[in-house]
Order: sequence, then structure tokens, then C-alpha cells
Amino acid sequence: MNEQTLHFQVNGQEQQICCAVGASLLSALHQQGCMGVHRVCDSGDCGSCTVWVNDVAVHSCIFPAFRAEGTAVTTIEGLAQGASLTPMQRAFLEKQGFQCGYCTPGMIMSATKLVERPEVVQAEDPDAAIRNWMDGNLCRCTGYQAIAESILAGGFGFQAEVSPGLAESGCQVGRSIPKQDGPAIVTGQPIYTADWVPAGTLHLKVLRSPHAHALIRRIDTTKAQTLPGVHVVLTHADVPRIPYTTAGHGEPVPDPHDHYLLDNKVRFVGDRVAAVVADSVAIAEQACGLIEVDYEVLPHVLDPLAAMGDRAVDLGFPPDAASTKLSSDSSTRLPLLHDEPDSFQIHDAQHNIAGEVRLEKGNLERGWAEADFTLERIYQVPAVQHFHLEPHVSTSWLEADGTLVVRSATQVPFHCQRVLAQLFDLPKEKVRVFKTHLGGGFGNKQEILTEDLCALATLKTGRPVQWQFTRWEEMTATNSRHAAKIRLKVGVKRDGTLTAMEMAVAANTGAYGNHGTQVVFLTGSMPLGLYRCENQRYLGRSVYTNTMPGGAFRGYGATQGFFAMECLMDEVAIALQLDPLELRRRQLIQPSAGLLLGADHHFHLIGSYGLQEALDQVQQRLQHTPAMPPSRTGQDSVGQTRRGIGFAVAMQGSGLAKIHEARVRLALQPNGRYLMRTGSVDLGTGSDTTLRQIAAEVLHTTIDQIDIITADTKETPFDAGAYASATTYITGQAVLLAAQDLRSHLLNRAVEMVNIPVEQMDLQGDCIVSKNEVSEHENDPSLLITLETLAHQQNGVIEVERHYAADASTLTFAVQGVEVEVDLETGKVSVLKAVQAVDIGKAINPRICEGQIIGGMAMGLGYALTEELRLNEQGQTLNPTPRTYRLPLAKDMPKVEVVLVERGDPYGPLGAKGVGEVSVNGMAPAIANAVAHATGVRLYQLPMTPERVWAALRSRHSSDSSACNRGLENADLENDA
Amino acid sequence: MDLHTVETLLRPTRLDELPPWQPGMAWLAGGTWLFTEPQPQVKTLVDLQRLGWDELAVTEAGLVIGATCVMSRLVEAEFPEQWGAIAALRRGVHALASFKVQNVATVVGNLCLALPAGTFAPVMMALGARYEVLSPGGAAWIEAVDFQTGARRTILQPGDVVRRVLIPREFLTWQTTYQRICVASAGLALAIVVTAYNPMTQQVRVGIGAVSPAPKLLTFAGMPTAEEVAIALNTAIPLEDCIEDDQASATYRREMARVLLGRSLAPFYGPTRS
Ligand SMILES: Cc1cc2nc3c(=O)[nH]c(=O)nc-3n(C[C@H](O)[C@H](O)[C@H](O)COP(=O)(O)OP(=O)(O)OC[C@H]3O[C@@H](n4cnc5c(N)ncnc54)[C@H](O)[C@@H]3O)c2cc1C
Ligand code: FES
Ligand code: FES
Repeated sequence: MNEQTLHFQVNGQEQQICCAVGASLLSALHQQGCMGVHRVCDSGDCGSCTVWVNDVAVHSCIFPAFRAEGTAVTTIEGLAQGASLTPMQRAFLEKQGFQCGYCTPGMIMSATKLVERPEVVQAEDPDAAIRNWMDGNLCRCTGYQAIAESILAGGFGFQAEVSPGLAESGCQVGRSIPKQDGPAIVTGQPIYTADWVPAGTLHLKVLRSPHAHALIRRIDTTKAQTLPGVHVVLTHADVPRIPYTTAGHGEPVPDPHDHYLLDNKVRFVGDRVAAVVADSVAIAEQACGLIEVDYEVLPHVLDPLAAMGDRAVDLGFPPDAASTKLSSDSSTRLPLLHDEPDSFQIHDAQHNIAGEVRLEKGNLERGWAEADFTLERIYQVPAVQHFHLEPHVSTSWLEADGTLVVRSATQVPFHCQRVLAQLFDLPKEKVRVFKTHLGGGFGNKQEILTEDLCALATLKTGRPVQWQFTRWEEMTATNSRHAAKIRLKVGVKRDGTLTAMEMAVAANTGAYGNHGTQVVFLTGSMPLGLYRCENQRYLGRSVYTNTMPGGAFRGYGATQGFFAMECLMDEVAIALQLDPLELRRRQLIQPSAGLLLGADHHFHLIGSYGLQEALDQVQQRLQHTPAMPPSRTGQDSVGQTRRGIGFAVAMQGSGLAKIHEARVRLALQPNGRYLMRTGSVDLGTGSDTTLRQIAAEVLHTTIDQIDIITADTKETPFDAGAYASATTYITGQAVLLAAQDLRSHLLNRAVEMVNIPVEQMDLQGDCIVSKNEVSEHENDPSLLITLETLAHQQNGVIEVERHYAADASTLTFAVQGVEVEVDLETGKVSVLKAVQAVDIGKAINPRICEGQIIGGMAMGLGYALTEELRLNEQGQTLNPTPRTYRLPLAKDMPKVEVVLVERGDPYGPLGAKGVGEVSVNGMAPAIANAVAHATGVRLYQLPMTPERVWAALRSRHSSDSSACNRGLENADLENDA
Repeated sequence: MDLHTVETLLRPTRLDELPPWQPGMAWLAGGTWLFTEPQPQVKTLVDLQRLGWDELAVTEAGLVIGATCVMSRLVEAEFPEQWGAIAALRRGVHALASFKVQNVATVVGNLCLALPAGTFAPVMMALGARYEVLSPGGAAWIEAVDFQTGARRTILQPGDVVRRVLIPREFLTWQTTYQRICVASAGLALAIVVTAYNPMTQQVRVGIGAVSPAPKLLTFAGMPTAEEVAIALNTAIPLEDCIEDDQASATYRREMARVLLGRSLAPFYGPTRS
């Protein structure tokens, strides 16, 4: 590789830059320390890397570095002049146009140029124009609404309502206090994991399997090892063989232990074969290409039903439901993914069944007998990818005392620490794992994917090592939402009573079991639990196949199950000639309903209950009236379209009862400020802000008085981590308890000093005051003592620690409504309106909650309409880039409405319930139901791409006679190619 | 992304400065495709930018788009109002990608890349464009219809370079429509239909992209009937020539060509038919 020397200005400074001739401008700018220019797709699709070259906006990842010669380049770091932000930056800050913030620099750099363009300036509907023209900028967190509002405000000076000032006292809870990391985000500060590395850091790359299933007969690393710049090459022969799971769960770890640091067998295209550690990524990549591997290719299996062999039978799918045949026709034996003897906690390795969940209540046979009619359908949902914008990345190094330090983009630092200690036989104290800012995770970072080999490389070389995934690796070698086939059958009486429900699920857990069994539990227990029905049975299996593993993904299995349930309930309503909302009003669980299916496993219960109100709210806002016909529109040159309305209901727990533990330390520091230490992880959602609001409420202060240290196994007490919608509900409770403790501590100490009974004192900002104004203090008659003085007199820090684990997980409910338009000739579906009402308990920070909900809706929209990882018969991913794996864009999202139904929950902190996941579940079924309402045609497979909708419309056309009683006949397996 | 395998960069100001063409050499226009995926076979980038080929000019002959003219200039430049052809060109720009990609990507690069979903090839066909190709042997003008021969295949031989595109003056006043469908609201198209209509003669030329590996042209001497359209489509693109891949089936693509054709012709039928 030849180097070139370039000269150009970066943010007004002349720079001399030495880089490879094929380097992108993005890499050259990173060399200059401009880490606010984010690399996400590396292919021109996402806009996160947007900079200006001579004032023209470009995607720096696809802009040749040499073309910048002699130009002036502006990056996010160069926008603000000193402390004064540009109007666009201010607007993003004021309107909070971000969550994790990873997309934000690119958004601001793009938007600033966009609002100068005539297309936008002269647009009649600037909001629509902005959404349209921002189609080169992806955001996975916000659902774009706050971004569009920010750009409007920044470009057109739309008056932003004054955001509540930080220092404003009074109630801290229930206010939309801005996320505290906003200023760093809008100025592109180097706050993310990859933005800093120690000097002398080496880079790791792995060679990935080209085969879906193969044994490594021989592997020769000689050539790779001799390439200059290569430090070490690792294969299965060089690593300890310890079975573990990549899933980040607390002990006792429930998941199959079936993964190895490196193995002599590969189980999916993209599986790890060998690791190279070298001076640069380019050298490591080149060395990977020099490793010679002799594979014995094994037969592979891609379909979960096929992979189970004869054990698929009791799930009750029709024989043709398996979408692929076994790869090798000659052998009738199943390809077994985990026939190695040392893996354990696998349900049935001989049939590729990683885990099985059986739930039952009542008597199903009796239920069928009582039914006036039954409906049975088969649903198919795809593997989809999280596409958090920040990739997986970790950097590891050794401290002078031998401590192994891993700085990682993780949702679960404490579980990661434990796993690393076990893998490398180190005492836990000798392993420190911490995270900095996260650029999104959505479950994919509840997974130990980079930390293990990165740490090993540091242990082998003694050097700092960084391992960052490419987008291609994210799409092909991390995790997906579990693809699943779902069979659902219900027995119904004429009055709508549900007499029996039976659900069977084959979830594709891919090559490794990780979260599979837990995911499959929620696929059944959540949707079945939502309805009142005496007799229910569930059989779910997570099944190994030679595909990228399924893993944790926002919604965690419930999303798949609700698609089936909420679509079928719509059909039940149609069969009963009942309004779909009315059916739900009658049949949804009531607060009195104590026993839920599977309650003995996961201890879910109903705390606050605002579900009926949520139904009313959504109905009103969509102006839905029972028996409303679909509307016809657009019969002109653009063809025929129909509009329809659809609904869906969903629920999700708040954290995991009993096992999800959080500890929080709260201290008064010598300077009179508070310090909160929590092991919890803010994924970018704003939970660090929310937690401080809870403490501030109790301590009668403002959140800027509370410093915070989070998610560091050395500096913070244990927290299970950010998953299962737990942070507010569980960590928040620990914060509440700690704050209450600290408050009474402080007041009691003050008693000794000011001689006033504790009942007459109170905390107020940075002081302790008297309720009776007895003090001699001139300016403030009530002031007794400042906290700083108190801390001084107590000789330093006053600290409390509290821990919390919930006895039960309270349920959050959400009702989704949408209006769609379907183009009858092309099958294209557009979402025109979307309303979600969430029975949230109490919104500690309403804007942050709304952000979670709108972001969830956008993710649900992608799941419904476009997102799907597609494989060929060899198990290779056909669409591993955002060019072909289509995520929702700003223009795909309508302006959405969110309703927060607040009825304080008796179990959550200050009445709050979890809100991180539930919002994602309702979109797909609501859209499917709206399409059915609009066209009379129902889809049983996601995503509902134009072609699938078109094919369904066409097949309805060709067999119109059967359409009249569709409600009662069995669904054909559609599109099961 | 960084092209780790590139070893050499050539930035000629004249073509004759270049060494003889070797395997591993690639012309670099905007780079918005070259830099989007690893190019393991590319060792030498030959930058076109300093050749001074970036004209966007109106001449006697018509509209000339030079090899390094970036797309956004088609949007920014002003053209006579009666040039209906410009609308289709601009739609081709918008259909490609974000305004930031448009600032860098070239029209000619798009044609040379020759993706089935190329956003300009059907426009050029409908507008009777010609491309000037420079080869070691000399220069030649190629008709747009003859240029692309398949998916990522053109008549260019190694070392050949497209110097410019000419849209003949007679076509600039034709009225145009541009219809396109993708799996999502943006991305690679599953079908593109560009219709050019001569209001004086009622002649119709339709470029159809993304349906078959190479775009196809339909021509009609006057406004066709629905039946004529169907026959022409089936003849030009029999089902077995349609792309069948993970994004869409051949049947759907052809059906969409039919639907979009109907929509793109509709405005020209006059009030009686609409
Ligand atoms: C987000 C995004 C979306 C895209 N969507 C589409 C799409 O929908 N449809 C589509 O067709 N493309 C698409 N592209 C691909 C590509 O960027 C465009 O086709 C673009 O027009 C290519 O122009 P360029 O100048 O950047 O070409 P380059 O990347 O520089 O070159 C492209 C190819 O053409 C060759 N070439 C360039 N100029 C000449 C010449 N004068 N003579 C001979 N060979 C030449 C190059 O060697 C190379 O093989 C997309 C790109 C991005 C980043
Ligand atoms: S990283 Fe450049 S556009 Fe995505
Ligand atoms: S805020 Fe946009 S990706 Fe996270």
C-alpha cells in the first residue's frame, strides 16, 4: 500500500495528512482526530459521516481522500465558534433531536445545507420536504420526529417552546428535562467507545467462514504470521476450549453453553475461524487473506422445521411448512450443529433443539369442545437486524498491576466481566469492563461478541488491542431478531369468549443458542397472557440452523408472538362481525385476573392498569367508528389506492423479577454536590438523565447537582445491565431507595449540628432548611446549613448504597393504531397515520418516554414493511448492506402521535413502568390489519413488501368466491417459497 | 470505505500521459460506487477529474454532459422551460441517492457502472442519447440503446473511456415522465419506466430499466393503444429475460413495468382518456 501526503484545511487549520492512496476522506479525518465524523455503513447510505468539502456536503466515507487536496473541509467539530453553537446545533439541542446521538453530527451537517436549498425553502409543507430530502440520513433511535422538528426549528426559526431550564427547582419528575449529554452530542465530542485508543494500539480482525457448516481439517497460518506488521495469529489450537454463551445474562446463566473462543467447526457463513492481530486494520485484513484453511464441508440446514427432523411433528405445522429442504439429499441424517460432547444446557442436540418451552393451563380439549368455531393460521416472520448505528467495538489493555481493562460498547459490563474472568481464568477483580457513550444497542450489545477475542489478544501480546466490526460484519455475524414460524389456533364462542388458544413456535436461533429459549418464552407467554382464556397451551422451540444466530432484540420474542396474535384477533373480530377494538375491550386481561400463563416462571403481574383508556384514546385520535368502511382514493393516473385502519395491542414486562439486580451508591461529596454511582447502562435512551431525576426529586434538588458515574465494574456497584426494560423500573427503584436513605442520613447528621428536630428540617437544593424559618440568616431566614458545610463537618463523604431486585415484573400495555394506504396495482403500502397509547404508569421524563415510543414505532414499521435478512441456499446473506436491507427513512414515517396514559404503578419507582420495548410490538400487526381493512386481503408473512401484497391481492382476485368466508377457513401458507 | 488494495493513483491531465492500460486499472469518476465496496481487483485508480471533462454545455447539437459533470449540476443549472427532457434527467438524479451523493456522483459514471437499476440509462434511451467513447484506436459515438449489454456489462473494452454524453437537440423538447418502484421508498429500483413524448408528432419512446439486466427501449410512431403497449413490452422483454432475484420475482418486475408504463403514458393521452 502506498502512502500519499495531502494538504488541506480541516476546520480552518492547514493540515498535512499522510494516508494510503485508497483512503477515504473519513479515515483521513479520523487521523486528524475528528471522531465526530461517524463511520456507520461505509457505503454512502446513512449520512453519519457527512462533512463539507469547500462548503459542499458529501458523504466522507465514499469521498476519496486525495480529492480533498487543497480544499477546506468542515466537520461537526468545526461548526461552533467557541461556545456559540450554530442555529442548527441549538435547534437540535432545544428540540432534543437525538437519542444515542450517533447519527446527529451527520444530521446537523446535512440539515444545515439542506435548509439552504430552494426545494426546502420554498416548500409548501417544509416538514414533508425535510423528511423527503433527508433520505440520505439514517437514524435508528428517534423515529425521526424529533429530528424533523429540530431541522424545522434550525432552518426556519420556528419558535421552539422554551425547554425547562436545568436549574429550575420544584418537581423533577414528570418533566422533560433535556438529556444531559446533548451538548457533547451536537458538537461531535469524542465520547463513544472507538473515539479513543491508548498509544500503540493493535488491531484485530477475524477470518470468517465462507461455509454454512464445515470442519476445519487443517489451518496454516505461516504466511499470515510472516506478513510484516502482524503480531499474532490465533486459531482454535491456540485458545482455551471452554463452552460459554455469548448472551449476557446473570448467573445462573440459563442459556446453552455452546460457543467457543475459536472452534474447529464453523456453523454459519460468517462464523469465526481465526484471529489476526496487527499494526493496522488493513494489515490484519490482508493477513486474514493469507490464512490457508482446509475445510471439510458438511451438509447444512437453514430452516428450523427441517432442522428438528421428526421432532418437528408435534408442533403441528403442515408438512410443506419447511421452506428449505435439507442440503444433502443423499444422506437422510440431520446435519447436527452441536454434536460436540463438551457443550451443555442444550435441550436436544440430536434434533438441533437448543431450548424448549412448554406452558399450559386449563384443559385445551374442553376448550375446543366449548367453541362455536375455531380459527387456525400460520405466520412467518423474518430475521431482522438491529442496525444500531455504532458498531460493536472494544478496546482492551493491561494496567501496570496486571488488570485486564476492556472499554467496550456493551449493555452488560458486569456479565461481560464475569465471562472474561471465567474464560481466561482470572480473578474478577483483575478484569475491569466499562462502557463510555453507546451509539445504540437494542439488545445486540447484550451479547459478548468482541470483548472475548480482543481481551485474549491483549493477554497474548501484552498490547492494547481494538476490535471494531464493519457494517458487513454487523449484518452477517452478530445477531438478529429470531425468525420464526408460528401456528396459532383459537376457539371462540359466538359472544366472543375465547375458549381455547394454542400456539406453537419454531424460532430460528441460528448457529448458537444464546438467548433463544428466553426469547421463545416471551413469544408465547406475552401474547397468550394478554387475553382472558381459561384453556391455553404453548409449545415453543428455539432451533439451531446454519444461519447467523438469533439474539436479544427489543421486544425479545414478544414482537413475533404479537404479530400472530393481534392479526388473528382481527380475524376473530371479523368472523364475529364485531369491531376489533370492541373484541379487545371484552377479551383483554383485566386487573383482577391474577394468574397469567407462565406466571410461575417470570412473575409478571398487573400493577397499574390503563389499558381501556389507551384503547379509547387511540380510537378517538384515529376517528375510528365501528364498522367503518375502508376509503377509496386516488383513482387517477397514479392508479387505484385504498385506505384502511388497523389496531393492535401489546404488553411487555418491566425488568426480570427476582434475578435482575441493581445496586446504587449515592454520596454527598465534600464540595456539596451529589455523586451517583450506578452500574446501569444508558444505551442512548436518556436513562442517565431519568435516574438523576428520580434522585433529584427525593433530594429536593436539580439534576445538575448530581454527578454520575455509570457502568464500570471498577467504579460502580453491580447492575445486571440494560435489557428487559429494566433500567427505570429496577435501577430506578434502587436510586429511589438510595436517595431516601441519603436524605434521612443527611437530615439526621444535621440534627447534631443545628439542634432542630428532624421533622422540622428539609433538603432544599444545596442546603438544609428549616420548615419554620427559625434561622438567623439574613438573606434566607430558613437556611440552617449548606450541604457543603455539612460535608465538611462530617469529614468528607457521606455515602449510602442500596440494592434492589423486584419481586414481580409489572406489565406495560400499549395500543397501536394506524391508517395505511395501499396501491392496489403495485402492492405498495404507506403508513399515513400512527398513534400509540402507552399505559406507562408514570412518565419520569415524558419526552424521553415519547422518544422511546416513536423510535419503537419506526422499528416496528421497518419490521412490517421492508426489513428482512435474506439468504441464498448456501446460507450467504444476500442483502448485508443498507442499500438492499431497507430501514425506514424519515419520509416513511408519518407524523405520529403518542399518548401517555399515566396511572401510577404501585410497584415501580414513583409509579413508573418499563417503556423501552413494548412500543415496537404493535406496528406490524396493526399495519397488517389495516391492509386487510383497506383491501380485504390479509398477509401472514413479514415484511409486507409490495410484491407480497401484490401477490396476495392477485390471488384473492383469482379465487374471489372463497373470499366471502375467508374468516373461517384455514390460511394457506403464503409465499413459502 | 478505504480501498486497501489500491496501490497507485494516476491523475492525468491528458489521456496520452497514461501508461498502456493494464488489468487492475480502473477509471475513477465520482467514486460513489467505487468507494462503496471492497475492490480487490483494483490496483490503480485513474482519476478523470483533471482531464477537464466536466462540461455541462448546450451546443448546436444538443445537451452535452461531460464525463466528470456531477449530477447536482443538472438540478442547479437553468434550462429553457420548453425542454421537457430536463424533468426526466432531474428525476434520474433524485432517484439515485441523497443530495450529498448527487454532489459527487457523475451521470457518466452511472451509465458506465451499468447496474440494471441504473437511474439514467432509461432516460438516455428515451431521449435518443449518444455517448462518445475514446479507445486507444480513436473516438466513436455509440447509441445509448447499444451501450449496456447486461448487468454491469457494456460495450466498453478495457481501457475505453466515455468522454461525454450528447442528448440531441431534437429530443430536448419532448415531454417526459419518470416512474419508478422499489421495495422501499428509496433504494435500488425494481422497475423504472421513462417515457418521452413528442407533442408535435405524437411519437413515443420508452426506456425501461431494472426489469431486465440491460435496459430496453420501446418506440411507437403515435400514441399506442393498451394492446400495442402490451405486445411491445412482451416482445422487448419476454418473461425469461426479466431479473429474478431475492428482491423481486421476474413476474412482479414485468408486471410493474406494465403498470408503470400505463402510468407514465397516461398524461399524454389527453383529456379524453384520463
Ligand atoms: C447511497 C447510494 C445509492 C445508490 N443508488 C444507485 C442506484 O439506485 N442506481 C445506480 O445505478 N447506482 C446507484 N448508486 C451507485 C453509484 O454511486 C452511481 O451509479 C453513480 O452514478 C456512479 O457515479 P460515479 O461518478 O460516482 O462513479 P464511480 O464510482 O467513479 O465509477 C463507477 C464505475 O464506472 C466506471 N467509470 C466511471 N466513469 C467512467 C468513464 N467516463 N468511462 C468509463 N468508465 C467509467 C468506473 O471505473 C466504475 O467502474 C448508489 C450509490 C450510493 C452511494
Ligand atoms: S458512513 Fe458514510 S454514509 Fe454511512
Ligand atoms: S439518535 Fe439517531 S441513531 Fe441514535
